[in-house]
Amino acid sequence: MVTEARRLSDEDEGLVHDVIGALEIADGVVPEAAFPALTDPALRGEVAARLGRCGRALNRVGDGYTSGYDDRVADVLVREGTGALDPQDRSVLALVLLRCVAIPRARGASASSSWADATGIRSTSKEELEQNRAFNKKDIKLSLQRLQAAGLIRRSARAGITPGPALHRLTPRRTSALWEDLLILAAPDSAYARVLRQRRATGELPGTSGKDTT
Amino acid sequence: MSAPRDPAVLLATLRAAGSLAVDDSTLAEMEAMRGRVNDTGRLLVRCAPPSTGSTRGRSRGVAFGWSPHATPSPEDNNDYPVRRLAPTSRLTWACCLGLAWPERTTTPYPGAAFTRSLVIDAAAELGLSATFVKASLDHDLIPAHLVTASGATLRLGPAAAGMPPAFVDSIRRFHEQLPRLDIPVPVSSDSSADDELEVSSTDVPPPPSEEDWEW
Repeated sequence: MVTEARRLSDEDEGLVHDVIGALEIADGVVPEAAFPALTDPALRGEVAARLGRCGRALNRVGDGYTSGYDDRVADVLVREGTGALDPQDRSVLALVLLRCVAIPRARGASASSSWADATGIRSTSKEELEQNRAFNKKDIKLSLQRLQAAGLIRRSARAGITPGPALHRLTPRRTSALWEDLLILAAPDSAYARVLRQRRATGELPGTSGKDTT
Repeated sequence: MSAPRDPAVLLATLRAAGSLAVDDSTLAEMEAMRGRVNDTGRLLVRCAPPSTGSTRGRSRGVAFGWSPHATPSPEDNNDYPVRRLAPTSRLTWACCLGLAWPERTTTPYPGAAFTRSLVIDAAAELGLSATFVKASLDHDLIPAHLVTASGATLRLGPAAAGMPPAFVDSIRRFHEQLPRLDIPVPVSSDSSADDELEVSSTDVPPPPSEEDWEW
């Protein structure tokens, strides 16, 4: 049930507004220590509540927080096709995540659960992605431009292509679903993939339905 | 009477799309959205509805703006990362502002319509190549909703409608320094296949007064 915002002192209202502004514009994680409204549990609860009333969720990421779409609301946006990636961009993003994160982690390079955690990830390149014959070079180039504009990847001449900060805005549920999607993609005949598909078919597990928003 | 729509979904749609058409919104829905947005330190500001890019006619849209006391200022402390436009995109944006905002005493948004070729020409006078200008428009400014494209016509986008008043006042002080072309925009009723449509500033209605733009 959505309730009215709690009335706070003028000072606390200012603190809550400050951190919500930061969360909504940040290009990455907002450190908890930088904002009193994140360190104080009561104010943090009010931040989460006010974000929730706007269809947003407060996500804990490492030592900080991000805001992202509330899962219930995101499901509606996905159904309506609002803000969803097109299939080509989604496929290229999947390739980037496979090469940069999923494969290195499957090899034990990192145990982190964060997509954009730099630990244990490797970068990829446009040339590496072009090895996938399902896409032509122009399509990959256009998709990379769109994914970069959306903050889903980072690109630099020195560091190559890596997952972008927008992935920090995914809720835990959506992060898990995305990870499972990649596992199904990478090893579709594995026992784990079969179990996941079975559980999704029975409604026991939510999937990403092939679309998602951040 | 249909059930009121969930304000949380409407606001999330606004964020995802950059703006929200409100022609079909009831007063109750607007009140609910406005209250929730105000509680986060933001405002709903009027803008062109999505997918039209034009403020003509009666269609209305809203975008997010900032309450004057709650406008983020990440440059003060660098406490959290923010995305910054590359220098070429900043220059391109300045050219768009200059072309869209001919009169200092008015508000930049909605401003005048302009075209890619005008932006390229204005940027060329600053030494910026057409390739960089096109990339800035297509990969930075349009995805960020600072500029909208409707065919060959460009306009300032809903994110420009949400520029904090203090920011607009700061730019107003340097209005005459914004890049703009000295030649008047030609009126053209025909366009060749190779030319983009030139839009006369007289075709654009004057922007409404400021009090119409903030709810």
